Amino acid sequence: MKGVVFTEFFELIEELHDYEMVDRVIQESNVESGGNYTSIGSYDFQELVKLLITYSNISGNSIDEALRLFGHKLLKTFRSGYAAFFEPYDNARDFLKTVDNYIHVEVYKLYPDAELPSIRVEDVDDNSFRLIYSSSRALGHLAFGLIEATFELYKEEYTIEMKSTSEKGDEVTFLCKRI
Amino acid sequence: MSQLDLLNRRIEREILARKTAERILEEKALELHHNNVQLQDLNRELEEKVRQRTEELELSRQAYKGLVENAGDVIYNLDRNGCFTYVNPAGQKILGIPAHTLHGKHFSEVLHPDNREEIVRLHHLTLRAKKELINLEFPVTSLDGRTTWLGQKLNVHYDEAGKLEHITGVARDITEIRNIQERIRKSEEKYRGLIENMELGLLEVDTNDKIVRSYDGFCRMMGYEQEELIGKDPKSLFLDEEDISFMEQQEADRKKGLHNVYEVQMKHKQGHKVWMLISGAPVMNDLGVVTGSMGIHYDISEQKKLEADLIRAKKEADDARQAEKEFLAQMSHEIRTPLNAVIGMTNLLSDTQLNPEQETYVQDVKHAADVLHGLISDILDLSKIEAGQMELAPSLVNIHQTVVMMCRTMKVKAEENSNQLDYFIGDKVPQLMRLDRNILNQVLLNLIGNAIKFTHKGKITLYLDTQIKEDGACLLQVKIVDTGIGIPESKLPDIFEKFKQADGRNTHKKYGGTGLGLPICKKLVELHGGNIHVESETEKGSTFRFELKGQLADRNSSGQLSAADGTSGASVDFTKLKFLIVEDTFMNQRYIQSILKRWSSDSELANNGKEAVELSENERFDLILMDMQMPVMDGYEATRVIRADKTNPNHRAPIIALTASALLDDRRKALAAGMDEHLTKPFTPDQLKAAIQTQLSRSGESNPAERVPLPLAFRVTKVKQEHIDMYFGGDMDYAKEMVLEFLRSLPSERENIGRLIQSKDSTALSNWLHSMYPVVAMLGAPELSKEIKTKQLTVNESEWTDDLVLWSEQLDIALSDLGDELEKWVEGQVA
Repeated sequence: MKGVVFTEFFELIEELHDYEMVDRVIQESNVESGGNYTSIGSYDFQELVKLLITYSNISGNSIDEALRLFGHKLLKTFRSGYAAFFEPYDNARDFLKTVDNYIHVEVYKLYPDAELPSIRVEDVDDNSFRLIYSSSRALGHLAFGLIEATFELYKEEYTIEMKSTSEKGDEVTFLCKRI
Repeated sequence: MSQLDLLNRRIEREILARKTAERILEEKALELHHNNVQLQDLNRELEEKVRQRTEELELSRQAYKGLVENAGDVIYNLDRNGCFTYVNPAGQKILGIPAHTLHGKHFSEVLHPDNREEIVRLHHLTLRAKKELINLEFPVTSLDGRTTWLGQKLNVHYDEAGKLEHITGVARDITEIRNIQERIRKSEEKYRGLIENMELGLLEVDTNDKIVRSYDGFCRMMGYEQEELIGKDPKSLFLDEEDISFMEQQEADRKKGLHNVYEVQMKHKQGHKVWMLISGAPVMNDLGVVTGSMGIHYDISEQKKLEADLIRAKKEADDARQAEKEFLAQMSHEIRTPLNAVIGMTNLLSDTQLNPEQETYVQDVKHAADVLHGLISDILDLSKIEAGQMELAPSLVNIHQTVVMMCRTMKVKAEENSNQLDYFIGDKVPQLMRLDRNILNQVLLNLIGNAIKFTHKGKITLYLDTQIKEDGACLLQVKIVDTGIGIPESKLPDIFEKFKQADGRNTHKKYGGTGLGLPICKKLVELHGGNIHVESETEKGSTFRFELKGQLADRNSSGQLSAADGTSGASVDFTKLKFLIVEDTFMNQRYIQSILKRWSSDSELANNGKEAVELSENERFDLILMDMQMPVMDGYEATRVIRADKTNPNHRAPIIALTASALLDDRRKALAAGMDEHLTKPFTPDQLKAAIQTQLSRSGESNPAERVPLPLAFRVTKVKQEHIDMYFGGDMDYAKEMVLEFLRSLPSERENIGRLIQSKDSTALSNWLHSMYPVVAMLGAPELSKEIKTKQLTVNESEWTDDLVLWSEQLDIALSDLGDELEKWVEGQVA
């Protein structure tokens, strides 16, 4: 897992709470790396899981909620760091369609060892489409947050119906309808 | 937990994270450095490769450029607007325009003005149809006005959207080929035009016998339009049923590649017939396969008509000539037969006991008959000469002997007028000359007779000389000088004219004669290639000169002298002879019988040919005297029957023809029928005796009836037709001609054998045999030929032996038999 995810996660906790909360999560999670993450490093995904569980226990916020918020946080980071990917499009659906076909392709060029989810967009009609997320990480709620944040970014209002289509949660379908 | 601890931990985490990041960055930098070095290496390699490829490309480009620049063909590029972007030197040369001027020029500018519009139009059509490959032939004009024909191949390149990009052209100078093609075309036109103008009609037919082309000339001849004939079968259109198979034969020949020329009648459209001379030849393609035939037709209707007219005219003329001949023969027969009887009977009568008065009457009758006989002979002779029926019959003549005999005969007459007759023969005059004996005798007789007649108590002198001409001919020059009454000068020019005696009526009254003698002499002399002149002075005498053109005798030919010269003629004992007289006229029968009786010879009488055949079958006669014109069976037929029947004891007996006709034709006919001699009626007992003696001495002392049987090889029973076919290739006319020639020469050849045997000259005999056996083989007697050949070889090697005498006698018989068989064969051919 890319270090940026860990640094962004700690930034999110600090925004929501304070650095003390960050400190507690690090100490109580007792992660192998010691929690000294740098955005350009790579770390074991299990450390993020431990950190999430720890954070959930201490804050009382659910893991799903934490991931959803993390999705919002990550999209902001992507938007400011990689604006060029967003600017060509004026709506969320068109942008989302480019994630798998274009953005992830570019990511792999920089980080050949990256492990990225698959994002497939299927049109239903003019006002609704279906987004199928699949990943061994089963971070469906992180995806939910990212989708929500995307609609917000393009100032569009959609209802998002999330439905897990596998038991392990490694494939999730989001039905998005324009309000 | 103090805020300070928290801050310290945070700072410591940040530092650790920073260090981790720095380490990672350092690793990344190193990695980048390595990558950079590798990239630089790779770049260098690639640069080197690019350089090499560029170099190779340049070499290749140079090579191709060289090819294009040096190519004999024109190579050029046009841009999408049709303007030149490249023209190779060959193109520049043909156009006479340098490259820099040419580039950017539109292609239409170099086209020949006559074709410009059409080529540009074709160009546009091509582009519109998006064709990629075009073949074109058109002329271009160079700057200095030369026109060059180019055969072009254009590659048109289009882009993906189908828009024209550029055109590549390869062109070849085909001016020479075009010129040759043009020349061939013009030449063909010229000859076709020639033929058409020559009133010849051309017709071209394919192998299915359908007309593929008919030319104007032919259409004009047959009255058709060209379109009417195409695809038609010329045979059913133009030919009658009976000509079709003939034409099919010609066509079959043509299909074999043979040329042929033939005549055939063709139907005109109007229905009438046109005679065509057709020269046909097969038409072949480049591979030599016959694709049809071409016939050149020439209308020969006019010529055909002319030909038919000529044939008719010739037939009419021939018929007229034949009628005239027959009339002459008939006249001759009709007049001479009774006259013969008168003269003969007068001769017999004068041998009887007569009182002086009767003697005078008989002499008068005899004289009158002689005059009449002379007159008729002269008239007939003149008619014959004028009708062109008198032909030269040259033979070897003993000149000296002839003159001596003539003078001895005439001496008696000369003395009756108290004349002296002398002769002088020049030193150069040869003993023997080849000329017509009868003409010489007749002219001498006439001129000497005249001289005696018109001279009294004078001298008649005969001079003979010869002159050799450049062409080898020998002129016999005769001069007869008398001291008689002469001829008035005014009459001299007419003396050789018919019925113009020197003194007209007076002369006739006083001297008699028909006035035909000199004209006949003139004609005869002229016939013999000579001329006759007279010089005269009244009361002093006349000199007649004439020449006859003859030949000197070959040195070896003296043996060919015939019995008529008196050199042979062994005495014949007439008392032992028996004759068969075949004669239908009572008076003639009596005349001949009484002559023979006077010679104490025995004779039998047959009234016609049929009786003669019957008598000849039962008894052998020594000689047969045969009249020609008889009822029931004529003399020709009877002779053929007797000769043809080998069982007839007389089939080789000598036969003398007795005819009233002096025509050469009749003599020929008699000899062809197998007779040995020909005697013209009326004849004197001496003439008959001489003829009989000649025949009997010729057939030799040995009696044919007593000869030993012939060896097998000599027995000629039938002519072998297959041999004749083999040698003459089925050309029976030619074969017949050869057979007749052989038959003509047979008597003299048979004489040759006898002479050679007598001379015992083995070399000469061998030579003669050598010349004989091929002829005999050709004429259908192979066994006989083989026998002659075998003998020839032994004769050549061995000395003379007496058994050759027997052998040659047998050969003589065999040849005679072969002659008989060949005569039968000739008759078979006529039938």
